[in-house]
Amino acid sequence: MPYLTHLLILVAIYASLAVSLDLLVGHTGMVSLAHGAFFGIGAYAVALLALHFGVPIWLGTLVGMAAAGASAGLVGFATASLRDDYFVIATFSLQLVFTNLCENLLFVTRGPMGISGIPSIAMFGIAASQQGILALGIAFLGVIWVIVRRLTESPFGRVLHAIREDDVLARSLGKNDRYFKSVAFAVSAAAAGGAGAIYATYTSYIEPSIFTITESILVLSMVIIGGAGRLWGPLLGAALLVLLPELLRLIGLPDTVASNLRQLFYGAALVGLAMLRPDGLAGRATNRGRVR
Amino acid sequence: MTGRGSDHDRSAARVRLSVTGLSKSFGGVQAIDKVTIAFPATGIIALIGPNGAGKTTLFNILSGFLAPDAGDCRIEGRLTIGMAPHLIARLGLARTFQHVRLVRQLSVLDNLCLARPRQAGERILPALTGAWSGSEEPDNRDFARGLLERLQLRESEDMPAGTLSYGQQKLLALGCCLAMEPTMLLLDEPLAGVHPALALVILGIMAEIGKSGNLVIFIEHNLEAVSKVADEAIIMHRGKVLARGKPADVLKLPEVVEAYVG
Repeated sequence: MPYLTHLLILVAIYASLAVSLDLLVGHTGMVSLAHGAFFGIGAYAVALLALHFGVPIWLGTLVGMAAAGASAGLVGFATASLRDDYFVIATFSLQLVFTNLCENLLFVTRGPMGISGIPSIAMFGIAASQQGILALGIAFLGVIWVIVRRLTESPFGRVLHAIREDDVLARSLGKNDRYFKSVAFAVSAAAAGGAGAIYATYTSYIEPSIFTITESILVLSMVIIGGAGRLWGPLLGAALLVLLPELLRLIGLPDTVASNLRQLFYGAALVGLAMLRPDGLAGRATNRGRVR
Repeated sequence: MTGRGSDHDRSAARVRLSVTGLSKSFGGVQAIDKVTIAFPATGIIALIGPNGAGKTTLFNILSGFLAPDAGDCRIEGRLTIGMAPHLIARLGLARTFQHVRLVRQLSVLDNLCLARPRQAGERILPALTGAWSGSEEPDNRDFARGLLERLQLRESEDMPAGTLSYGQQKLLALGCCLAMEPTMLLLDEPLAGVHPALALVILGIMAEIGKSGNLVIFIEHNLEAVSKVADEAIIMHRGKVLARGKPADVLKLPEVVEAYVG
Protein backbone atom coordinates (compact mmCIF):
# COMPACT_ATOMS: atom_id res chain seq x y z
CA MET A 1 0.00 0.00 0.00
CA PRO A 2 2.73 2.55 0.79
CA TYR A 3 4.30 1.52 -2.51
CA LEU A 4 1.08 2.24 -4.42
CA THR A 5 0.65 5.56 -2.61
CA HIS A 6 4.25 6.40 -3.48
CA LEU A 7 3.56 5.73 -7.17
CA LEU A 8 0.41 7.85 -7.10
CA ILE A 9 2.32 10.73 -5.51
CA LEU A 10 4.87 10.51 -8.32
CA VAL A 11 2.06 10.43 -10.89
CA ALA A 12 0.55 13.57 -9.35
CA ILE A 13 3.90 15.38 -9.37
CA TYR A 14 4.76 14.39 -12.94
CA ALA A 15 1.23 15.10 -14.14
CA SER A 16 1.58 18.63 -12.71
CA LEU A 17 4.82 18.99 -14.64
CA ALA A 18 3.30 17.63 -17.86
CA VAL A 19 0.08 19.68 -17.64
CA SER A 20 2.06 22.87 -17.04
CA LEU A 21 4.53 22.11 -19.84
CA ASP A 22 1.60 21.52 -22.18
CA LEU A 23 0.59 25.17 -21.75
CA LEU A 24 3.80 25.91 -23.64
CA VAL A 25 4.19 22.95 -25.97
CA GLY A 26 0.59 22.18 -26.85
CA HIS A 27 -1.04 25.57 -26.63
CA THR A 28 1.66 28.11 -27.49
CA GLY A 29 3.84 25.97 -29.74
CA MET A 30 6.97 26.61 -27.66
CA VAL A 31 8.89 23.37 -27.12
CA SER A 32 10.86 23.82 -23.91
CA LEU A 33 13.64 21.57 -22.66
CA ALA A 34 14.07 23.49 -19.42
CA HIS A 35 11.18 22.10 -17.40
CA GLY A 36 13.58 19.97 -15.36
CA ALA A 37 15.45 23.12 -14.37
CA PHE A 38 12.30 24.90 -13.13
CA PHE A 39 11.33 21.71 -11.30
CA GLY A 40 14.77 21.93 -9.66
CA ILE A 41 14.56 25.64 -8.85
CA GLY A 42 11.42 24.98 -6.79
CA ALA A 43 13.00 21.98 -5.08
CA TYR A 44 16.27 23.74 -4.19
CA ALA A 45 14.45 26.90 -3.09
CA VAL A 46 12.24 25.12 -0.60
CA ALA A 47 15.10 22.94 0.68
CA LEU A 48 17.65 25.73 1.14
CA LEU A 49 15.17 28.15 2.68
CA ALA A 50 13.92 25.54 5.14
CA LEU A 51 17.33 24.23 6.16
CA HIS A 52 19.28 27.50 6.35
CA PHE A 53 16.64 30.03 7.32
CA GLY A 54 13.89 27.96 8.87
CA VAL A 55 11.39 29.29 6.37
CA PRO A 56 8.11 27.36 6.56
CA ILE A 57 7.54 24.91 3.73
CA TRP A 58 4.47 26.67 2.35
CA LEU A 59 6.32 29.97 2.14
CA GLY A 60 9.38 28.30 0.65
CA THR A 61 7.13 26.70 -1.97
CA LEU A 62 5.69 30.08 -2.93
CA VAL A 63 9.19 31.59 -3.12
CA GLY A 64 10.33 28.64 -5.27
CA MET A 65 7.38 29.11 -7.60
CA ALA A 66 8.04 32.83 -7.82
CA ALA A 67 11.75 32.23 -8.51
CA ALA A 68 11.01 29.69 -11.25
CA GLY A 69 8.32 31.91 -12.73
CA ALA A 70 10.47 35.04 -12.66
CA SER A 71 13.48 33.38 -14.26
CA ALA A 72 11.27 31.89 -16.97
CA GLY A 73 9.58 35.24 -17.53
CA LEU A 74 12.96 36.89 -18.05
CA VAL A 75 14.23 34.14 -20.33
CA GLY A 76 10.91 34.14 -22.18
CA PHE A 77 11.13 37.88 -22.73
CA ALA A 78 14.70 37.57 -24.02
CA THR A 79 14.02 34.60 -26.30
CA ALA A 80 10.53 35.54 -27.53
CA SER A 81 11.83 36.37 -30.98
CA LEU A 82 13.40 32.92 -31.36
CA ARG A 83 11.32 30.54 -33.42
CA ASP A 84 10.84 26.80 -33.15
CA ASP A 85 14.14 24.98 -32.97
CA TYR A 86 16.06 28.07 -31.86
CA PHE A 87 13.83 28.33 -28.81
CA VAL A 88 14.45 24.64 -28.12
CA ILE A 89 18.20 25.28 -28.20
CA ALA A 90 17.86 28.29 -25.86
CA THR A 91 15.90 26.28 -23.29
CA PHE A 92 18.30 23.37 -23.68
CA SER A 93 21.16 25.73 -22.80
CA LEU A 94 19.24 27.07 -19.83
CA GLN A 95 18.80 23.50 -18.61
CA LEU A 96 22.54 22.81 -18.95
CA VAL A 97 23.40 26.02 -17.10
CA PHE A 98 21.10 25.06 -14.24
CA THR A 99 22.56 21.55 -13.98
CA ASN A 100 26.08 22.99 -13.98
CA LEU A 101 25.24 25.48 -11.26
CA CYS A 102 23.73 22.73 -9.12
CA GLU A 103 26.79 20.58 -9.53
CA ASN A 104 29.38 23.28 -9.00
CA LEU A 105 27.97 25.90 -6.64
CA LEU A 106 29.12 23.69 -3.77
CA PHE A 107 28.63 26.28 -1.02
CA VAL A 108 24.97 26.59 -1.95
CA THR A 109 23.84 23.25 -3.35
CA ARG A 110 26.56 20.96 -1.94
CA GLY A 111 27.01 19.77 -5.52
CA PRO A 112 26.61 16.08 -6.29
CA MET A 113 26.44 15.29 -2.57
CA GLY A 114 22.96 16.70 -2.64
CA ILE A 115 20.86 18.10 0.16
CA SER A 116 19.36 15.73 2.69
CA GLY A 117 17.13 16.14 5.71
CA ILE A 118 14.66 18.42 3.99
CA PRO A 119 11.77 18.76 6.45
CA SER A 120 8.50 17.32 5.27
CA ILE A 121 5.26 19.19 5.10
CA ALA A 122 3.80 19.62 8.56
CA MET A 123 0.52 20.90 9.87
CA PHE A 124 0.34 22.17 13.45
CA GLY A 125 3.69 20.59 14.09
CA ILE A 126 2.67 17.13 12.89
CA ALA A 127 4.42 15.82 9.78
CA ALA A 128 2.01 14.94 7.00
CA SER A 129 1.37 11.25 6.41
CA GLN A 130 2.04 9.72 3.01
CA GLN A 131 -1.69 9.90 2.33
CA GLY A 132 -1.62 13.54 3.32
CA ILE A 133 1.11 14.24 0.80
CA LEU A 134 -0.81 12.35 -1.87
CA ALA A 135 -3.87 14.50 -1.14
CA LEU A 136 -1.69 17.61 -1.37
CA GLY A 137 -0.14 16.42 -4.64
CA ILE A 138 -3.55 15.77 -6.15
CA ALA A 139 -4.84 19.13 -4.92
CA PHE A 140 -1.83 20.87 -6.47
CA LEU A 141 -2.38 19.01 -9.74
CA GLY A 142 -6.04 20.07 -9.61
CA VAL A 143 -5.12 23.73 -9.20
CA ILE A 144 -2.61 23.61 -12.07
CA TRP A 145 -5.15 21.80 -14.24
CA VAL A 146 -7.85 24.42 -13.55
CA ILE A 147 -5.42 27.31 -14.18
CA VAL A 148 -4.24 25.86 -17.49
CA ARG A 149 -7.82 25.18 -18.59
CA ARG A 150 -9.07 28.61 -17.62
CA LEU A 151 -6.19 30.26 -19.46
CA THR A 152 -6.46 28.17 -22.62
CA GLU A 153 -10.24 28.59 -22.88
CA SER A 154 -10.10 32.38 -22.46
CA PRO A 155 -9.26 35.11 -24.99
CA PHE A 156 -5.71 34.84 -23.57
CA GLY A 157 -5.60 31.23 -24.73
CA ARG A 158 -7.06 32.20 -28.10
CA VAL A 159 -4.04 34.44 -28.64
CA LEU A 160 -1.70 31.63 -27.52
CA HIS A 161 -3.29 29.39 -30.15
CA ALA A 162 -2.92 32.11 -32.76
CA ILE A 163 0.78 32.47 -31.88
CA ARG A 164 1.20 28.70 -32.14
CA GLU A 165 -0.32 28.68 -35.62
CA ASP A 166 1.10 31.92 -37.02
CA ASP A 167 2.90 34.52 -34.91
CA VAL A 168 3.19 36.92 -37.85
CA LEU A 169 -0.60 36.98 -38.09
CA ALA A 170 -0.90 37.50 -34.32
CA ARG A 171 1.41 40.51 -34.49
CA SER A 172 -0.44 41.98 -37.47
CA LEU A 173 -3.64 41.75 -35.38
CA GLY A 174 -2.05 43.90 -32.67
CA LYS A 175 -1.05 41.11 -30.29
CA ASN A 176 2.22 41.51 -28.40
CA ASP A 177 3.56 37.97 -28.86
CA ARG A 178 6.49 38.67 -26.55
CA TYR A 179 4.11 39.39 -23.67
CA PHE A 180 2.02 36.29 -24.28
CA LYS A 181 5.04 33.99 -24.65
CA SER A 182 6.72 35.35 -21.52
CA VAL A 183 3.57 35.03 -19.42
CA ALA A 184 2.87 31.49 -20.65
CA PHE A 185 6.49 30.54 -19.95
CA ALA A 186 6.38 32.09 -16.45
CA VAL A 187 3.09 30.42 -15.46
CA SER A 188 4.33 27.08 -16.75
CA ALA A 189 7.65 27.37 -14.91
CA ALA A 190 6.04 28.51 -11.64
CA ALA A 191 3.86 25.39 -11.70
CA ALA A 192 6.95 23.25 -12.28
CA GLY A 193 8.63 24.99 -9.34
CA GLY A 194 5.68 24.10 -7.13
CA ALA A 195 5.89 20.48 -8.22
CA GLY A 196 9.61 20.56 -7.37
CA ALA A 197 8.90 21.86 -3.88
CA ILE A 198 6.42 19.06 -3.22
CA TYR A 199 8.93 16.54 -4.57
CA ALA A 200 11.73 17.84 -2.33
CA THR A 201 9.70 17.80 0.87
CA TYR A 202 8.29 14.38 0.03
CA THR A 203 11.60 12.63 -0.67
CA SER A 204 13.55 14.82 1.82
CA TYR A 205 16.63 14.48 -0.41
CA ILE A 206 17.58 16.21 -3.67
CA GLU A 207 20.67 16.19 -5.85
CA PRO A 208 21.53 17.67 -9.26
CA SER A 209 21.02 14.47 -11.26
CA ILE A 210 17.28 14.55 -10.52
CA PHE A 211 16.80 17.81 -12.43
CA THR A 212 18.79 17.25 -15.61
CA ILE A 213 17.99 17.33 -19.30
CA THR A 214 16.84 13.70 -18.97
CA GLU A 215 14.06 14.92 -16.71
CA SER A 216 13.11 17.64 -19.17
CA ILE A 217 12.97 15.11 -21.99
CA LEU A 218 10.92 12.73 -19.85
CA VAL A 219 8.29 15.41 -19.14
CA LEU A 220 8.27 16.47 -22.80
CA SER A 221 7.75 12.80 -23.78
CA MET A 222 4.78 12.64 -21.41
CA VAL A 223 3.21 15.62 -23.15
CA ILE A 224 3.86 14.35 -26.66
CA ILE A 225 2.99 10.70 -26.04
CA GLY A 226 -0.16 11.70 -24.15
CA GLY A 227 -1.17 14.29 -26.72
CA ALA A 228 0.00 17.89 -26.77
CA GLY A 229 -2.76 20.47 -26.49
CA ARG A 230 -5.35 17.78 -25.66
CA LEU A 231 -7.45 17.92 -22.52
CA TRP A 232 -6.39 14.59 -21.03
CA GLY A 233 -3.18 14.13 -23.01
CA PRO A 234 -0.51 15.21 -20.50
CA LEU A 235 -2.28 13.41 -17.62
CA LEU A 236 -2.42 10.21 -19.61
CA GLY A 237 1.20 10.56 -20.69
CA ALA A 238 2.40 11.19 -17.14
CA ALA A 239 0.51 8.22 -15.70
CA LEU A 240 1.78 5.96 -18.47
CA LEU A 241 5.45 6.94 -18.26
CA VAL A 242 5.54 6.82 -14.44
CA LEU A 243 3.71 3.50 -14.08
CA LEU A 244 5.13 1.60 -17.05
CA PRO A 245 8.71 1.24 -15.71
CA GLU A 246 7.20 -0.03 -12.45
CA LEU A 247 5.25 -2.64 -14.40
CA LEU A 248 8.47 -3.73 -16.06
CA ARG A 249 9.94 -4.10 -12.60
CA LEU A 250 6.98 -6.18 -11.43
CA ILE A 251 7.59 -8.61 -14.28
CA GLY A 252 10.79 -9.37 -12.44
CA LEU A 253 13.37 -7.99 -14.81
CA PRO A 254 16.56 -6.81 -13.15
CA ASP A 255 16.82 -3.01 -12.83
CA THR A 256 19.65 -2.73 -15.34
CA VAL A 257 17.60 -4.43 -18.03
CA ALA A 258 14.41 -2.61 -17.07
CA SER A 259 15.93 0.84 -17.34
CA ASN A 260 17.33 0.06 -20.77
CA LEU A 261 13.98 -1.35 -21.80
CA ARG A 262 12.43 1.92 -20.69
CA GLN A 263 14.65 3.88 -23.05
CA LEU A 264 13.78 1.45 -25.83
CA PHE A 265 10.12 1.88 -25.05
CA TYR A 266 10.29 5.69 -25.25
CA GLY A 267 11.93 5.53 -28.64
CA ALA A 268 9.52 2.95 -29.98
CA ALA A 269 6.52 4.77 -28.51
CA LEU A 270 7.55 8.09 -30.06
CA VAL A 271 8.16 6.55 -33.49
CA GLY A 272 4.97 4.52 -33.31
CA LEU A 273 2.93 7.54 -32.25
CA ALA A 274 4.38 9.69 -35.00
CA MET A 275 3.14 7.12 -37.47
CA LEU A 276 -0.19 6.08 -35.97
CA ARG A 277 -1.38 8.84 -33.67
CA PRO A 278 0.51 12.03 -34.49
CA ASP A 279 -1.71 13.98 -32.08
CA GLY A 280 -0.81 11.69 -29.15
CA LEU A 281 -2.82 9.05 -27.34
CA ALA A 282 -5.58 11.52 -26.50
CA GLY A 283 -5.59 12.87 -30.07
CA ARG A 284 -7.29 11.73 -33.22
CA ALA A 285 -6.95 8.08 -34.17
CA THR A 286 -4.99 8.22 -37.38
CA ASN A 287 -3.34 10.49 -39.84
CA ARG A 288 -4.52 8.50 -42.83
CA GLY A 289 -6.64 10.30 -45.35
CA ARG A 290 -6.05 13.64 -43.69
CA VAL A 291 -5.95 16.41 -46.23
CA ARG A 292 -3.09 18.79 -45.82
CA MET B 1 -17.59 55.95 -57.11
CA THR B 2 -18.34 59.36 -58.57
CA GLY B 3 -19.70 62.48 -56.94
CA ARG B 4 -17.26 62.83 -54.09
CA GLY B 5 -18.29 65.77 -51.97
CA SER B 6 -16.13 68.70 -51.02
CA ASP B 7 -16.03 67.42 -47.43
CA HIS B 8 -14.34 64.33 -48.67
CA ASP B 9 -11.81 66.33 -50.64
CA ARG B 10 -10.94 68.47 -47.65
CA SER B 11 -10.39 65.57 -45.26
CA ALA B 12 -8.49 63.76 -47.98
CA ALA B 13 -6.09 66.67 -48.11
CA ARG B 14 -4.88 65.77 -44.62
CA VAL B 15 -2.02 63.30 -44.64
CA ARG B 16 -2.59 60.20 -42.52
CA LEU B 17 0.24 58.00 -43.64
CA SER B 18 3.46 58.98 -45.35
CA VAL B 19 6.85 57.69 -46.38
CA THR B 20 9.81 59.93 -47.17
CA GLY B 21 12.98 58.92 -48.99
CA LEU B 22 12.29 55.29 -48.25
CA SER B 23 14.85 52.72 -49.48
CA LYS B 24 15.19 49.00 -48.98
CA SER B 25 17.38 46.49 -50.75
CA PHE B 26 17.65 42.73 -50.50
CA GLY B 27 21.18 41.66 -51.38
CA GLY B 28 21.82 43.43 -54.66
CA VAL B 29 18.18 44.07 -55.49
CA GLN B 30 16.86 47.54 -54.78
CA ALA B 31 13.26 46.70 -53.79
CA ILE B 32 12.39 50.27 -52.83
CA ASP B 33 14.42 53.18 -54.14
CA LYS B 34 14.04 56.57 -52.40
CA VAL B 35 10.26 56.50 -52.46
CA THR B 36 8.26 59.45 -51.12
CA ILE B 37 4.47 59.12 -50.92
CA ALA B 38 1.91 60.97 -48.82
CA PHE B 39 -1.36 59.08 -48.43
CA PRO B 40 -4.51 61.09 -47.71
CA ALA B 41 -6.65 60.49 -44.63
CA THR B 42 -9.50 58.92 -46.55
CA GLY B 43 -10.10 57.28 -49.87
CA ILE B 44 -9.14 54.20 -51.82
CA ILE B 45 -5.70 54.04 -53.34
CA ALA B 46 -4.54 51.32 -55.70
CA LEU B 47 -0.89 50.36 -55.75
CA ILE B 48 -0.07 48.77 -59.08
CA GLY B 49 2.98 47.64 -60.93
CA PRO B 50 4.62 44.50 -62.26
CA ASN B 51 5.94 41.79 -59.96
CA GLY B 52 9.06 42.91 -58.14
CA ALA B 53 8.06 46.58 -58.25
CA GLY B 54 8.34 46.83 -54.45
CA LYS B 55 4.65 46.99 -53.57
CA THR B 56 4.60 44.24 -50.95
CA THR B 57 7.92 45.46 -49.54
CA LEU B 58 6.32 48.86 -49.05
CA PHE B 59 3.42 47.18 -47.19
CA ASN B 60 5.84 45.24 -45.01
CA ILE B 61 7.66 48.44 -44.05
CA LEU B 62 4.45 50.39 -43.42
CA SER B 63 3.18 47.64 -41.10
CA GLY B 64 6.50 47.31 -39.25
CA PHE B 65 7.46 43.82 -40.40
CA LEU B 66 10.51 45.11 -42.27
CA ALA B 67 12.93 47.87 -41.34
CA PRO B 68 13.94 50.14 -44.22
CA ASP B 69 17.59 50.87 -45.00
CA ALA B 70 16.86 54.58 -45.12
CA GLY B 71 13.97 56.95 -44.93
CA ASP B 72 11.02 57.84 -42.76
CA CYS B 73 7.61 56.37 -42.26
CA ARG B 74 4.94 58.29 -40.34
CA ILE B 75 1.40 57.67 -39.17
CA GLU B 76 -0.47 60.86 -38.23
CA GLY B 77 2.90 62.58 -38.11
CA ARG B 78 4.31 60.02 -35.71
CA LEU B 79 7.53 58.25 -36.71
CA THR B 80 6.89 54.49 -36.88
CA ILE B 81 10.31 53.24 -37.97
CA GLY B 82 11.51 50.76 -35.35
CA MET B 83 8.05 50.30 -33.87
CA ALA B 84 6.88 46.71 -33.40
CA PRO B 85 4.12 45.54 -35.78
CA HIS B 86 1.60 45.08 -32.97
CA LEU B 87 2.07 48.70 -31.85
CA ILE B 88 1.62 49.97 -35.40
CA ALA B 89 -1.54 47.84 -35.61
CA ARG B 90 -2.81 49.56 -32.47
CA LEU B 91 -2.35 52.94 -34.19
CA GLY B 92 -5.15 51.84 -36.49
CA LEU B 93 -3.32 50.08 -39.30
CA ALA B 94 -4.59 46.68 -40.38
CA ARG B 95 -3.21 44.60 -43.21
CA THR B 96 -3.77 41.38 -45.10
CA PHE B 97 -1.09 39.19 -46.63
CA GLN B 98 -0.63 37.97 -50.16
CA HIS B 99 -0.87 34.39 -48.92
CA VAL B 100 -3.90 34.18 -46.67
CA ARG B 101 -3.02 34.09 -42.99
CA LEU B 102 -5.69 32.83 -40.57
CA VAL B 103 -5.71 30.66 -37.48
CA ARG B 104 -6.85 27.68 -39.50
CA GLN B 105 -7.85 25.49 -36.55
CA LEU B 106 -9.96 28.16 -34.86
CA SER B 107 -13.56 28.65 -35.94
CA VAL B 108 -14.48 31.45 -38.33
CA LEU B 109 -16.16 33.32 -35.47
CA ASP B 110 -13.15 32.88 -33.18
CA ASN B 111 -10.82 34.28 -35.85
CA LEU B 112 -12.86 37.47 -35.88
CA CYS B 113 -13.11 37.62 -32.07
CA LEU B 114 -9.35 37.14 -31.85
CA ALA B 115 -8.85 40.26 -33.95
CA ARG B 116 -10.97 42.49 -31.69
CA PRO B 117 -8.78 45.16 -30.06
CA ARG B 118 -8.21 45.91 -26.36
CA GLN B 119 -9.63 42.73 -24.84
CA ALA B 120 -9.40 42.53 -21.05
CA GLY B 121 -9.62 38.73 -21.33
CA GLU B 122 -6.22 38.70 -23.01
CA ARG B 123 -4.58 39.75 -19.75
CA ILE B 124 -3.62 37.06 -17.34
CA LEU B 125 -5.70 37.98 -14.27
CA PRO B 126 -9.02 38.61 -16.02
CA ALA B 127 -8.39 35.43 -18.02
CA LEU B 128 -8.06 33.48 -14.75
CA THR B 129 -11.03 35.04 -13.01
CA GLY B 130 -13.25 34.72 -16.09
CA ALA B 131 -14.12 38.42 -16.01
CA TRP B 132 -14.10 38.44 -19.82
CA SER B 133 -17.06 36.11 -20.18
CA GLY B 134 -19.54 38.60 -18.69
CA SER B 135 -20.08 41.23 -21.35
CA GLU B 136 -16.82 41.58 -23.28
CA GLU B 137 -16.88 38.27 -25.12
CA PRO B 138 -20.64 38.38 -25.94
CA ASP B 139 -20.16 41.91 -27.30
CA ASN B 140 -17.26 40.77 -29.43
CA ARG B 141 -19.28 37.82 -30.70
CA ASP B 142 -22.14 40.11 -31.64
CA PHE B 143 -19.74 42.40 -33.47
CA ALA B 144 -18.21 39.40 -35.23
CA ARG B 145 -21.62 38.05 -36.25
CA GLY B 146 -22.48 41.45 -37.70
CA LEU B 147 -19.29 41.28 -39.76
CA LEU B 148 -20.08 37.75 -40.92
CA GLU B 149 -23.41 39.06 -42.17
CA ARG B 150 -21.61 41.65 -44.29
CA LEU B 151 -19.08 39.07 -45.48
CA GLN B 152 -21.88 36.62 -46.28
CA LEU B 153 -20.16 33.98 -44.16
CA ARG B 154 -22.80 33.69 -41.45
CA GLU B 155 -23.55 30.00 -42.14
CA SER B 156 -19.89 29.07 -41.72
CA GLU B 157 -19.31 30.70 -38.33
CA ASP B 158 -18.59 27.44 -36.47
CA MET B 159 -16.41 25.88 -39.17
CA PRO B 160 -12.63 25.84 -38.73
CA ALA B 161 -11.26 28.68 -40.83
CA GLY B 162 -8.99 26.26 -42.70
CA THR B 163 -11.96 24.43 -44.21
CA LEU B 164 -13.30 27.50 -46.06
CA SER B 165 -12.72 27.92 -49.79
CA TYR B 166 -9.76 30.07 -50.79
CA GLY B 167 -11.96 33.03 -51.67
CA GLN B 168 -13.87 32.75 -48.41
CA GLN B 169 -10.58 32.63 -46.51
CA LYS B 170 -9.53 35.88 -48.17
CA LEU B 171 -12.88 37.34 -47.24
CA LEU B 172 -12.41 36.21 -43.64
CA ALA B 173 -8.88 37.68 -43.53
CA LEU B 174 -10.40 40.98 -44.66
CA GLY B 175 -13.03 40.50 -41.93
CA CYS B 176 -10.30 40.07 -39.30
CA CYS B 177 -8.89 43.43 -40.35
CA LEU B 178 -12.34 45.02 -40.07
CA ALA B 179 -12.79 43.50 -36.62
CA MET B 180 -9.81 45.63 -35.55
CA GLU B 181 -11.81 48.73 -36.58
CA PRO B 182 -8.82 50.24 -38.37
CA THR B 183 -8.49 53.67 -39.91
CA MET B 184 -5.87 52.43 -42.38
CA LEU B 185 -6.39 49.22 -44.30
CA LEU B 186 -3.61 47.67 -46.39
CA LEU B 187 -4.81 44.86 -48.68
CA ASP B 188 -2.27 42.77 -50.57
CA GLU B 189 -3.97 41.46 -53.71
CA PRO B 190 -7.43 41.12 -52.16
CA LEU B 191 -8.98 39.80 -55.38
CA ALA B 192 -6.32 37.39 -56.67
CA GLY B 193 -7.70 33.88 -57.01
CA VAL B 194 -11.15 34.90 -55.79
CA HIS B 195 -14.39 33.83 -57.46
CA PRO B 196 -15.99 36.83 -59.30
CA ALA B 197 -19.07 36.77 -57.06
CA LEU B 198 -16.92 36.95 -53.93
CA ALA B 199 -14.74 39.61 -55.58
CA LEU B 200 -17.83 41.81 -55.82
CA VAL B 201 -18.44 41.40 -52.09
CA ILE B 202 -14.82 42.36 -51.37
CA LEU B 203 -14.97 45.39 -53.68
CA GLY B 204 -18.22 46.48 -52.04
CA ILE B 205 -16.69 46.31 -48.58
CA MET B 206 -13.58 48.19 -49.71
CA ALA B 207 -15.75 50.98 -51.14
CA GLU B 208 -17.74 51.12 -47.91
CA ILE B 209 -14.62 51.41 -45.74
CA GLY B 210 -12.99 53.99 -48.00
CA LYS B 211 -16.10 56.17 -47.95
CA SER B 212 -16.56 56.13 -44.19
CA GLY B 213 -13.53 58.25 -43.44
CA ASN B 214 -10.81 55.62 -43.67
CA LEU B 215 -7.82 55.02 -45.89
CA VAL B 216 -7.71 51.87 -48.00
CA ILE B 217 -4.54 51.02 -49.93
CA PHE B 218 -4.62 47.90 -52.05
CA ILE B 219 -2.20 46.09 -54.31
CA GLU B 220 -3.92 44.73 -57.37
CA HIS B 221 -3.17 43.39 -60.83
CA ASN B 222 -6.78 43.43 -61.96
CA LEU B 223 -6.83 46.86 -63.65
CA GLU B 224 -10.56 46.70 -64.30
CA ALA B 225 -11.19 46.44 -60.55
CA VAL B 226 -8.71 49.24 -59.96
CA SER B 227 -10.52 51.65 -62.25
CA LYS B 228 -13.81 50.62 -60.67
CA VAL B 229 -13.10 51.35 -56.99
CA ALA B 230 -9.89 53.34 -56.69
CA ASP B 231 -9.93 57.10 -56.18
CA GLU B 232 -6.28 57.20 -57.10
CA ALA B 233 -3.70 54.85 -58.54
CA ILE B 234 0.01 54.81 -57.77
CA ILE B 235 2.16 53.00 -60.29
CA MET B 236 5.39 51.47 -59.01
CA HIS B 237 8.17 50.06 -61.12
CA ARG B 238 11.58 48.77 -60.01
CA GLY B 239 11.23 50.32 -56.58
CA LYS B 240 10.23 53.77 -57.76
CA VAL B 241 6.94 55.61 -58.12
CA LEU B 242 6.33 55.94 -61.84
CA ALA B 243 3.07 57.87 -61.80
CA ARG B 244 0.17 58.85 -59.58
CA GLY B 245 -3.29 60.12 -60.42
CA LYS B 246 -6.83 59.19 -61.36
CA PRO B 247 -6.85 55.54 -62.48
CA ALA B 248 -8.36 56.37 -65.88
CA ASP B 249 -5.57 58.87 -66.66
CA VAL B 250 -2.67 56.99 -65.14
CA LEU B 251 -3.34 53.64 -66.78
CA LYS B 252 -3.16 55.27 -70.21
CA LEU B 253 0.31 56.74 -69.76
CA PRO B 254 2.76 55.26 -72.29
CA GLU B 255 5.43 54.50 -69.65
CA VAL B 256 2.83 52.57 -67.61
CA VAL B 257 1.76 50.54 -70.61
CA GLU B 258 5.41 49.88 -71.36
CA ALA B 259 6.20 48.84 -67.77
CA TYR B 260 3.33 46.40 -67.80
CA VAL B 261 3.63 45.02 -71.30
CA GLY B 262 7.34 45.45 -71.87
